[in-house]
Amino acid sequence: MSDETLFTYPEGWNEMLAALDFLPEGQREGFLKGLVGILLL
Amino acid sequence: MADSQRLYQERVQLYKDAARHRKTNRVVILANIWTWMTYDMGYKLSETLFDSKKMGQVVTKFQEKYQFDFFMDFGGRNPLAISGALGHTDYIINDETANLNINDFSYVEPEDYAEISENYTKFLWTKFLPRKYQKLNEAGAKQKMLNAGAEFGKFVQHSTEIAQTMASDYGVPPAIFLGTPAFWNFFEILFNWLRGIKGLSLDLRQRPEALKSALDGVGVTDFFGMTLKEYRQSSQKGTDPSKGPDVSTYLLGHSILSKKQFEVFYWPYLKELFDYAEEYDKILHIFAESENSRFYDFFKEAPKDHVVIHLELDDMFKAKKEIGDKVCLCGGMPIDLLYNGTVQANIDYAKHLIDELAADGGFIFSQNKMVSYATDCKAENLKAVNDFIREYTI
Repeated sequence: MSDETLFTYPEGWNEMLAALDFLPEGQREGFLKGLVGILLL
Repeated sequence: MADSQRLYQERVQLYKDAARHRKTNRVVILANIWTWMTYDMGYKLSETLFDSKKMGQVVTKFQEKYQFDFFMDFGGRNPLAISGALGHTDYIINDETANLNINDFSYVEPEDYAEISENYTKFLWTKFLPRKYQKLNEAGAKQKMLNAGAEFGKFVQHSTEIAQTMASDYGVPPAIFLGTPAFWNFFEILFNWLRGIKGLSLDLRQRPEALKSALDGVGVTDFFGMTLKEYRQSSQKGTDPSKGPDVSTYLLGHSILSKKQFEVFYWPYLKELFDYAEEYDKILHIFAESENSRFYDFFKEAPKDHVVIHLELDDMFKAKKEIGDKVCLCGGMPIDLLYNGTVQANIDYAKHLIDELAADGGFIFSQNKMVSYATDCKAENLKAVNDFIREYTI
C-alpha cells in the first residue's frame, strides 16, 4: 500500500496497525487510537 | 511507613473528605499550575514542551519548592514532540513571556458531521490527520506516523515515570489531567481541537441538528475513543482509594452557550457523568473555565457529595450559597492577586477563602485560573500562601 492510500479506512488503518509490529497484536489498536487521540492536542 | 507514603494517603483522604463535605483539619491545595512551572524553574518552554524527560525535572523541582497536595498537570498538557514528528508548527512559543498560543483553526467541515456521527475513528484517520498534519500528504507518511508513535511511546514512558516519582518520593497522587480518566462532552473536543470557536458558533445557528446528531453519535468520550458507556461496563462500584477523583471533565466550550443552548448541547452529556458518579459512587472532578453562574440550575442537579467543581471566574462566595451544599467547590485564589498583590494581601485573602468556604468542608483550595504565563503569578506569593495553608487549622 502506498502513502497516498494510507489514510483510508479500514484498509489504510489496518495497514498502519500491521506496521506497529514492535507491539503485540492485541495492543496495536489501543496504541494507534491513543496516538491519534494525543494528536488532537 | 515512609513519610511520602503517609503524605500520599493523607492527601487522598483530604481530597475525598472535601468532596464528601466532611470537615477536615486543613484544606487540600491543588496546583492549577501549567506552563508557569517551566518559567519558574528557570527552563524554556521550547525545551520542556519537546522533552518530556526535562519536564519531569521541572515538576519534581517545583514540588520541592511549593509542596502542593495535588496537581492538575504533571507537564503533559502540550506534548509537542509527538506533533513535531509530523511537522506540526501551529503553536507559537514565546520563551521570554512563557507564552504558548495557537491560532483558531477548523479541521471539520460542516458536511463532516454525518460521518463523524457514523464512525468517529474513520473521520479522525481519513480527514482530521491529513488536514491538520499537512506533511502526511507527502511521501513517507507511514514512516512519519511511526516516528510520531515512537515519540508517543517516550511520552507515555516519561509521564509514567514522573507520576511514579511524584508518588514514591513526594507523596503526590496522580495528576488530574491525564492521570485521571477524563470524559468529555464531544462539544468540547469540537470546540478545543476540531472545529474551533468560529466554526462551532456558526454551526450552533446554521446546522444545530447536524451538530446535535454528532454529539449523540460520538457520545461522552475520552481522547482515545472510549465512551463513558463502554467505561461503565468495566467499572466497579466505589471510589478508588489510591486517587483523589475517579473521573474528570473539562468545561470551556460552554462559555459560548446561552442557558437555553446549554440545555440542548451540554446538559444531557454532563448529566450522563453525574449519573455515573451517583450510580457507581465515584467522585467527578470538573474544571469549569470562564464564568458559570448562569448554569447553576444544572450544577444543582449534581449528586450530593460526588462532584468537585473548580470554578474559574465565578464569585466563590455566591457559588457557596447557591450550589455549595451539593458540590464541593474548588479554586478561589485570584491569579491577579498572586502577581500584583503583596505577600500579606495574598495570605489574608487565602485565609478569607478558607474561613468562608471550608468551615463545614466542601472546599479545595486552588488558583482560580490556569497559571501559565510569566505575569500570572509571583513565586514569593505562591510559596507564602502554600506555607500558610499547610499550617492553618480550620
